[in-house]
Amino acid sequence: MSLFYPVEKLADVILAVFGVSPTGTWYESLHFFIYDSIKIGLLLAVIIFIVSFIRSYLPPEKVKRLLTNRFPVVGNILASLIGVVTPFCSCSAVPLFIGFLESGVPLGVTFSYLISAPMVNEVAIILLLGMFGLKVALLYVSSGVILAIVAGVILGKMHLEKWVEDYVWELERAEGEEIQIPNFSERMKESYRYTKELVIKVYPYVLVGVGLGAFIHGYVPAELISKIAGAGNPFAVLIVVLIGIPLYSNAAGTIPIVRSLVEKGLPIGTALAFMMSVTALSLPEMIILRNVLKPKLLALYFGIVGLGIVLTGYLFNIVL
Amino acid sequence: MNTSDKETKTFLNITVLGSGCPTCKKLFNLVSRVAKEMGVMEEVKYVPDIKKVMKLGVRQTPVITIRGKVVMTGFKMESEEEKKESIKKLILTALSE
Repeated sequence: MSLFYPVEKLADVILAVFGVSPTGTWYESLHFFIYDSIKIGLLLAVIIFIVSFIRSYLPPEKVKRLLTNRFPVVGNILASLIGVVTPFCSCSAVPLFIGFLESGVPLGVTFSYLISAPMVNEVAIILLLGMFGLKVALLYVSSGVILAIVAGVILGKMHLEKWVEDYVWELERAEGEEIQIPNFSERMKESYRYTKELVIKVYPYVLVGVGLGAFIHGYVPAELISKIAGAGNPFAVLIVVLIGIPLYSNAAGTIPIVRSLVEKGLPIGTALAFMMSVTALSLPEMIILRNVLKPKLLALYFGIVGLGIVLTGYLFNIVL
Repeated sequence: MNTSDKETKTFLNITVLGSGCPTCKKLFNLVSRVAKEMGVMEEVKYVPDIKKVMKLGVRQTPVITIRGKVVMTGFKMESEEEKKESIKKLILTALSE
């Protein structure tokens, strides 16, 4: 990526200042580490700022209004796209879910959002963009969005309202929150704060991940990876998806490692499936959603998402 | 300022409710600290139960209630100082009621 040519030069200069002689595996790994840390740091700051600025135009009240009374599939498409730019954490999942249903957003549309929001993760997009380039980043976003649309439509057709916890339907309708519309400078200020907080939270993981990636880049032989999880192993996608589930919230640390593994021969579909499983399937989320979904629906939700990820992985391994 | 007189008479029952996520826990710690600094003798309660929040009719977490009344919802992106100030105000208002 020529956009980052200055960063590459900067890494050269830094290493020269410290008197590291520009030869050998050690130099290469170190250069790799410095270059990636700076590049990812810059991408994180810029893109998170832009995303949180866009998000300031999409408070929950407005999202609910956008998603009610739509034609069946249109609602699912909108919900999946909105899910891309909105953050998702185990804290907000239940209030959002209930808020959607009580404003009249259909269950299937709600699920589209519930799938796309955690699956298409902004930090993951940034890292994919920085480490794999635009094509892979777009593949990740579009397969996440398509999966969210399809799964939401299917779940909606199944009329599973009875599998939502009963108390949800018995709650008194909450009064709409007062919305204060922020002005431009308030939006900028909020975005700055959010960016700062998130970068501080995520960057240490990036450093650890890039460090491990740099080590793999320099020292792990390629044959090892291709032997374990290469194109020859038909179960590779399934296995990496299972490994990805407990790694929730560490997309920042995981992706730099995966990049190095891809360099060493890990198929890109397998890598994508792994990253989607890290961001979309998480135990904390499952526990928190159990508050509103009966076990059957919870299992169905995770089953559909998991299956979708595995299929995406195989598909890209075949296509790419 | 002398809040300790009122303190002995009134029972604030300050409670932080949430889903049990790190954000709510952080708010709980902050509220406890502010309350202690202000000389409030009772312990601040922490209720990590999302169903309770929903039943309060609130669709944002975390929530602060004082004497059972919802006084704050959601966790705004503001500095810790600003947050402390708004928590202080909430407690002062409750004390003067």
